[in-house]
Amino acid sequence: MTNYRLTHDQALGGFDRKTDGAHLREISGHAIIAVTMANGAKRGFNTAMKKLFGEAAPAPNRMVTAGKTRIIASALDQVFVVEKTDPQTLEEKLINGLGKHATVTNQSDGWVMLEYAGSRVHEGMERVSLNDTSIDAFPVGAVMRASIEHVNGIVCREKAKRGEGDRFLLLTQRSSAASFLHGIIDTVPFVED
Amino acid sequence: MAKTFRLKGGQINRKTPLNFSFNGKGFSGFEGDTLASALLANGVHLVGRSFKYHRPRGILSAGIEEPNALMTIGTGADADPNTRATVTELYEGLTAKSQNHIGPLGFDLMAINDRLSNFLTAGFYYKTFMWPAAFWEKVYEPIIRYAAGLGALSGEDDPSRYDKGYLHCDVLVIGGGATGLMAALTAGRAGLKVVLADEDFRLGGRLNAENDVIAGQKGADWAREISAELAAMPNVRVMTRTTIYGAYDHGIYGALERVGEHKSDQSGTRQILWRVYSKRAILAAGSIERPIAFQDNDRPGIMLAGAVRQYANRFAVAAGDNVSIFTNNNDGWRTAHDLSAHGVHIAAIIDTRHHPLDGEGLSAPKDCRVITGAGIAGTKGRLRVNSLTTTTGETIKTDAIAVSGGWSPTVHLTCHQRGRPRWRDDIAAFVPSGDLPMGMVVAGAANGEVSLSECLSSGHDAAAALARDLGKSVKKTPLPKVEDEPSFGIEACWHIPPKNGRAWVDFQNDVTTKDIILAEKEGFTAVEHLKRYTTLGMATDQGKTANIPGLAVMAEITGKTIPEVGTTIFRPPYSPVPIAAFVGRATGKNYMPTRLTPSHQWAKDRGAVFIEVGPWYRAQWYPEPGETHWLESVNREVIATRSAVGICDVSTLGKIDIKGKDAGEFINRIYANGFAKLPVGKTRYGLMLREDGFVMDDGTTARLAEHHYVMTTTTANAVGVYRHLDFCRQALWPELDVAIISTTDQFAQFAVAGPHSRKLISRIVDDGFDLSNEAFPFMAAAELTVCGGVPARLFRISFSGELAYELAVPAGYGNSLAETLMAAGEDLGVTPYGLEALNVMRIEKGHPTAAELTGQISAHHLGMERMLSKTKDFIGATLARRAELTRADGYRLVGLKTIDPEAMLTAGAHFLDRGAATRRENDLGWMTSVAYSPMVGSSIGLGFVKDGHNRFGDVIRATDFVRGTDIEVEIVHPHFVDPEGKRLHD
Repeated sequence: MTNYRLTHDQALGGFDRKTDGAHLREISGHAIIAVTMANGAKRGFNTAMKKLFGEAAPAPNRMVTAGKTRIIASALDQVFVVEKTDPQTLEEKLINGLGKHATVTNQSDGWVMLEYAGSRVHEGMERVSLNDTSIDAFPVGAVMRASIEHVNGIVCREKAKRGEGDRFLLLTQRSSAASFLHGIIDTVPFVED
Repeated sequence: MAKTFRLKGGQINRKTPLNFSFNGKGFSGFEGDTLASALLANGVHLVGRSFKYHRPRGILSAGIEEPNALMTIGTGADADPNTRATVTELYEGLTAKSQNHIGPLGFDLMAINDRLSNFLTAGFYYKTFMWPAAFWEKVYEPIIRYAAGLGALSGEDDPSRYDKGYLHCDVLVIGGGATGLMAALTAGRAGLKVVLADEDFRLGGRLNAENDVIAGQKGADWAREISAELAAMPNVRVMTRTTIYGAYDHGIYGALERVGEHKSDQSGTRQILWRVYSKRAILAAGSIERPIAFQDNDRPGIMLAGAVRQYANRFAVAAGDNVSIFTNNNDGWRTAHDLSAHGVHIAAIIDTRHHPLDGEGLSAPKDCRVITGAGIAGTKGRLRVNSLTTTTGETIKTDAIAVSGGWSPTVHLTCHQRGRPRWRDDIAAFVPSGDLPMGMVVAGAANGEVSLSECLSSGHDAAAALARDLGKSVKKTPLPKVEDEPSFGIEACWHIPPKNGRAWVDFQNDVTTKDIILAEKEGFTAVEHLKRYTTLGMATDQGKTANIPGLAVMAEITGKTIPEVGTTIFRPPYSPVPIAAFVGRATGKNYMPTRLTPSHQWAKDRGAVFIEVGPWYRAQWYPEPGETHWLESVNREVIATRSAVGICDVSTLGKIDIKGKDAGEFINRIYANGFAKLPVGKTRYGLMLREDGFVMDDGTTARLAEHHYVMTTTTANAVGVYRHLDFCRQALWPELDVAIISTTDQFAQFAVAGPHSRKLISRIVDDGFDLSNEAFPFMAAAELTVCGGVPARLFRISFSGELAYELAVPAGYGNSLAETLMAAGEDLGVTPYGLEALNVMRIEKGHPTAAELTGQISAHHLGMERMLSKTKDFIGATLARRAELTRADGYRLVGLKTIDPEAMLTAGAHFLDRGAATRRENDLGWMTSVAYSPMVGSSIGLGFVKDGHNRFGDVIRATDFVRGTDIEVEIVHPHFVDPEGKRLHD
């Protein structure tokens, strides 16, 4: 048995920064599993999902929260299931629960998650997101594949805590996460006009 | 004490005086002043020198259309040239410098150009500076470059911060004057999401310049009241100091917001470039006054009449003590009236119309000479006008002339998508035609409406119509009452032909009516030729005050109508936008996004030299202490890998997981060679073609489980191949049950290559996994665990040609894996190797990369024709068999070896037979990749040679026209090292 052991690094080193009206932090310790529905398996797939999580897969550009699990529509016939647990545990749960209705692929290390919340977050999102992220156009539960400063990502609006303003869950691919992060913190509200 | 030209009233804040300097001399003004108004208040009229003739110039206007008062604001790295004093907000400590003179402003040495004006007419550079030819580069050009240009950059990095953003709205209202305010108010009250943008720092437009009465109060006060209501509406965003500079497709507008230029402390963000996505837009940008050209009409103190009024009413500044008015419409009389009300003496009103007073209720101020049916024949006063002479022969002493030639609607944005305006004789102006950008309507003066009441109602009506269109209801509210105004009453008069001098049309580029006449004589009568031959409208003011008078003069001399002459094409930006604003935050290293490999930090800590591969940063080599040249490092890495073991981060290669019960069939249709029978636990090299039969990409695909494959692609084609697969899945074969997902970022992947690679891998894999050659032979693949349970994938594949593996672990372990492999392999002589050594080794093995797979290469060219399956259909099957792609004597990938071991080959060289003339028809092919091979001991290359596979042993020439080399090379098999591939199967 090898004595060597590997350590696991967070992509952004556990980034956590607060400013007046905004808090941006890297979320760690979550499994992200991509689930793709098999051809023609919609009914079986949704039944299986409801059995596992109490919720069917969300419609395109939507997410649902089932207890501590987030289910995010990420692509055509595909969702990301996100849960604070070990990736292998969630992967096995999904493989066993969904069976022939879906294929399952671990994406926990391929994506980085950031939580962005606060009363001035809307100012910041205006500077970096081509898409309209105002609450009228992008309500709670909305999801979009978006470009933030030329870096691809997934933007989800979550329910803000009382007095918080806006709360977003941002996902981006690991290799360009540093550029993604820089795009957000290099402007308001982290840098004042 | 210096005389002040301050008047009572105005909209300046006298409680906040501000100090500033101009050309090193200190002055004072007030908050609410512009630099121009503050200078005029201090009696300063001479502000610059003209571009070509270096004539003394003064402030002409009060807005963005200003052609003369261009200054450098700030010093050192903060110096900002060509800034219009008329739109520069005054702030404490502002420093301004005039431009375009050698010596003091009042005594410019370059004014000699004015004496040489006969030689410097329009197009002079097409007729001069031709002889002798050698003088152009060494004499003429340096002198002209030194003399030319307006303003100078500091030469230092711009220290200012610029930002960018994106706005979304239902209605974008462009212009915050009476029309725009009414439109924004109507749309805002209807519940629409509104953005109101105005380039001024105060909303109100001309209301701030006039004495109009709206709803029983001063127009400026009404504007303030409406501004406050708009600011309080949560659905309305008011953006002052914001210019909408361009109308783009699909209702997208470019906007430049100046957030920091007016502040004494300029350390914050200077400007923000916004992209505005609007469902609808209302252009309420007003109109721009234009002058009338007459002899010597460019002297300091000669200004536009509307601007003189604005300086008096808004900024409480008199343009002079003894002002004359020259006009062809009733608006000029308003200036006389307003100045007189401020106590300024009006020397004369000269009106080109014969009967201007009929029925209009206009009256001349006391002691004012009124001359009708006449014009100005000339003026005197080099540094400041001091008299004028009329066409009736009368000379009148005056220290300022307010000229009103009419108003041109600001149609620019309506024409940014190739629209053309239409002419209206009644107002002698172009107005928008029906050909507008999508979603835009025009209202107010921009649409040719000349009265205030028309402007208010059109702003309201435009917004109400849009609101209903967007599903909102609009409450009926009466429009504010406006006092009666006199009519416009214009009778077009564009110029008074000079008797013995010049009349200026384009002040900034020094274009006169004489130049236009010359253009016509020389056949440049089309408006686009007129523009380019004379440079009319080509300066930084883009001809805002010059274009219409210029083409009107051309119409007159050619006997055409103005619409027949037409306008030139309007293009964004409406007014200058700094390049830095387009750049925004993408400066320095952040000018583009980067992608980092999982072991980037480890490589950086080891002192790797990095290279950019698209957005990726990849370690190119790892220099060791004592190494002074990159070739030393690379040779060491190659030798170490081939003799012991090397590790290389290859995470950048595309990885695509393909799953589903039809995954095998899917892959079989994608690749040219067969994949249907690929066993579980095996990898196969695959050749992927485009529909047209050319090679798209190559890679390996492993079968990890019955319905689970993982495809690798080249780094460059990772995205392209993924898109191709997704297109095939969704569009070509939607019936196949297959899922594809990119796992490029999910895994850190390392090549472990060399004779000791198996030993090294065995030190980290968990017990129970048999790494022997029998159990895990060449091209095997498996999922396993390493280092006490970390899930991993192992592939026995080799790009280097050595016994090799590629090990993939979740990316978060990548940095640690690099450290662990180095620690575990220390006694084995493990060496990290970079992209350069990887490239050397693959060239030594004849493996193609993007250098060979250019998109114009076929399987036959690569010598891989046997990979084109004859038993199945696949993408590219039919067209890959075209005669030209399969011809027997076609290009073939071969190896090239130098005859002279000291010679260095270059990629891009072309091949010729020895003795063949260096002509295209003798071209045999080209060199695709080269490297110095420490194994061969010389420079080697790969390349495509016609009929190459039948020419091994032949000696040809590699000729590089760019570097000027001609080297003899032998055509050899492309596998320089271990040609039988024994090491792969060890």
